[in-house]
Amino acid sequence: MSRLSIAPALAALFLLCACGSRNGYWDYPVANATSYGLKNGVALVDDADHRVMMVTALDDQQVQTRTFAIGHNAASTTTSPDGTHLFVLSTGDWPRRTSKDEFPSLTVIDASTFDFHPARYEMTEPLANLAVDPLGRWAVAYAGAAATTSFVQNANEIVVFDLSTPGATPVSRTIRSYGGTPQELIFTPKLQLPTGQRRLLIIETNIDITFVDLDDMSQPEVTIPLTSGTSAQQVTPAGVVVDGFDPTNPLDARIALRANDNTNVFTWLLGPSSDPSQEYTPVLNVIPVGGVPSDIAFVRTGGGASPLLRVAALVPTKSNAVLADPDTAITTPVALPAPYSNLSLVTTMVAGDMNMAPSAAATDVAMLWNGGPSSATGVAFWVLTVDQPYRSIQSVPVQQPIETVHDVGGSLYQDLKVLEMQNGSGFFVLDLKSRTASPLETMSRASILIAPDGNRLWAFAHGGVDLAKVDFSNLNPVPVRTEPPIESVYDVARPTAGRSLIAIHKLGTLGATIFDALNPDTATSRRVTALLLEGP
Amino acid sequence: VKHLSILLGALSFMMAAPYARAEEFSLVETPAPAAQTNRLQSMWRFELGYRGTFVKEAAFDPFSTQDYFGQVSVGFSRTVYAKGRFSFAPGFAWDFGRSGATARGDGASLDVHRLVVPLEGRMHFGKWGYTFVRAAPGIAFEAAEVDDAASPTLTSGGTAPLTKSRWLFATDLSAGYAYPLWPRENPTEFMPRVWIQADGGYSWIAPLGLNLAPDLPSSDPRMANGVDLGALTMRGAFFRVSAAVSF
Repeated sequence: MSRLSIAPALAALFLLCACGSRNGYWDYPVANATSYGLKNGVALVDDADHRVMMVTALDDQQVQTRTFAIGHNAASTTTSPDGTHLFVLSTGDWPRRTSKDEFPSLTVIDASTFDFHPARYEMTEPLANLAVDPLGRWAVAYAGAAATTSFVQNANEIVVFDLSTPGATPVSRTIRSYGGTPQELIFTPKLQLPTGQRRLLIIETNIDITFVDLDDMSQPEVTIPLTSGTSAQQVTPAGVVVDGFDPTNPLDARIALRANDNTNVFTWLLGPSSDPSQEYTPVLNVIPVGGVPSDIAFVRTGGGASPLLRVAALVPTKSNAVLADPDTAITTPVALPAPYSNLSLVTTMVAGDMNMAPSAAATDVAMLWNGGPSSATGVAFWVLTVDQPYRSIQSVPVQQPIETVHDVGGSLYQDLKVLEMQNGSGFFVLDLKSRTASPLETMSRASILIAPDGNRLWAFAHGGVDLAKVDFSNLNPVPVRTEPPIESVYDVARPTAGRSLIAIHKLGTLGATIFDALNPDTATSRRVTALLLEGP
Repeated sequence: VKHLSILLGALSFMMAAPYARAEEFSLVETPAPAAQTNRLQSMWRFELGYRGTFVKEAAFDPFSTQDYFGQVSVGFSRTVYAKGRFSFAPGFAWDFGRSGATARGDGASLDVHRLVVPLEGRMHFGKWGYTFVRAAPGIAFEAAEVDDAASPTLTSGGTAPLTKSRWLFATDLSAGYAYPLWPRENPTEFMPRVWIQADGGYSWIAPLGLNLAPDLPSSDPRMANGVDLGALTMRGAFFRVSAAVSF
């Protein structure tokens, strides 16, 4: 063999064999990976690799991981309020250039058990936002305020997914518009309409409001412009509340809306329609409340033989609240000790408290606080009596302005609220029954996680290494530490009973520190590294 | 480039050294070469070369951006049997290679040492050299390492690398050709001879489970888990080009 012939032959062999390269997965960064807490684990959304890794806690602070494919290019990820489902809305490979490119899709992972069942729903057009029914039956994709995802996009198109039929083809619908585009979507509970019980999807656009019958998508939607034809002033919805369900009253369904630039509260009674093609006709009532309301709620007020339905509106610019009759538009102002801007009903949580119980058992009790930038401090309880509104306010002094109010779930401590302070100096555990607020101070700004079982809270410094458990039974802080900085923490169930705390560290390819949530101890914690490095 | 530099350096050393080494090797307790011994056939050989293996294993991906693993190859052999145009020469060889890449942003590296006993059967063509087949059973030491920032920190600084290493069974099977460059005349004369050779074949190392764990001191009380990258089997077609010196 010629010596000159060997070298070219070897070179050709090398080039032929060395042209292979590795899976592109290994070149994808994990910097944009995000974590979501679920009832039975933590979901790590690894969009670069089109997958979700479910991290399940086991005994002895061990973990188990499983991965599930998701659609390409995740645009929106959220969880169901009860933490049993993960929703990943993907825009797919858009525009599609080859038949292998993916369509837009919604991936739903059922995490109600430790088996984690995924389901995929394909769409024909990419949409960037997703609203999830708190009752778990529906999910709706819409364009919203996100950037346009295709050359021509119908901003008023919604795509409705029926989650009770995994993989079912979603229903696409274009809502009638007077120039607005969907901004917020609200799912109502079952409402008693003249033709029967229905669930509605309420769509707030930037200038109008639309009602869609979720139980019968063939029914035409109802769109109501909020801007008067005689005025150029734009009315932009800022919040919608829905009255409950009374199966004995076919005229029970009511909707109220406040706007962020209008001093009126808009209410609709969904009454009978003279048009046989429509199930109902919304009857509008515009109720002036004297200022721009910051929060509204349907409430039951006492003072008579039976509770009366009213719309309670907080008007912080007037330091008062207004109780409005949705039928007659008659209003009753109630002076407040501070310009409270937020309201939430705590009626069931204070039930049995003799100090709070008014004359009528069905009378609502509201908790008021100020979650805005105002310097107003404290919280107040408002017993919603009409006959003695001025004597119905009881305030609880809290020394700092409140940033957020956290509800406590579970069954044991529902009468507690956790008040997060604006200045980050700590938080208060508010007992609704005794109307006491127990302060808990922190050395630095703390983030709060309420355990889903409602038995404890976790306070941690985002980006720090300090973490503390506070049991609601005794409010005794148990401090622990992690070595790397904490990105987020999740209190999750274990398959064999017990609970674990998973602290996520956004370092490297993501790591975590696992604690026994019921008996946390740094010495028994376990570090898990390189969570997203496992092969494709 | 690093491997090539090593190869060229060692080759120049070997080419300069044969006369100095001749006396040394005469002390080896082997039968004194007969006056008519064909030293293109019965010889000591020292080889230094470059070896490339094409590894198509998915578990190799974290450690290389290509499906290719390069090694430096060093070895020697001694003809122990010769009859007619055929001979047999066992030997000993060491291959070493390292591959590194970033795996999702983490630094990852793999070291492989291969210690084998080449068993080589040769068919000679006089001054045109010989063709050979080679079976090379032996052992290999594989050490994998990944540096992840979420790993526990060390008191000495930095974070503990995620590591796994193990001795494994290994073997090669190849065929090739050796060509005497200089001198090609006077085959019975005892003098150093320079060869080039090439062979190709298939190599295999038993699987290594890549369940990497933080490399913490045994006295460290912290509990830490690593990552499981699957099982790596370093197998695939390979080629080797070498320079050799024989006596």
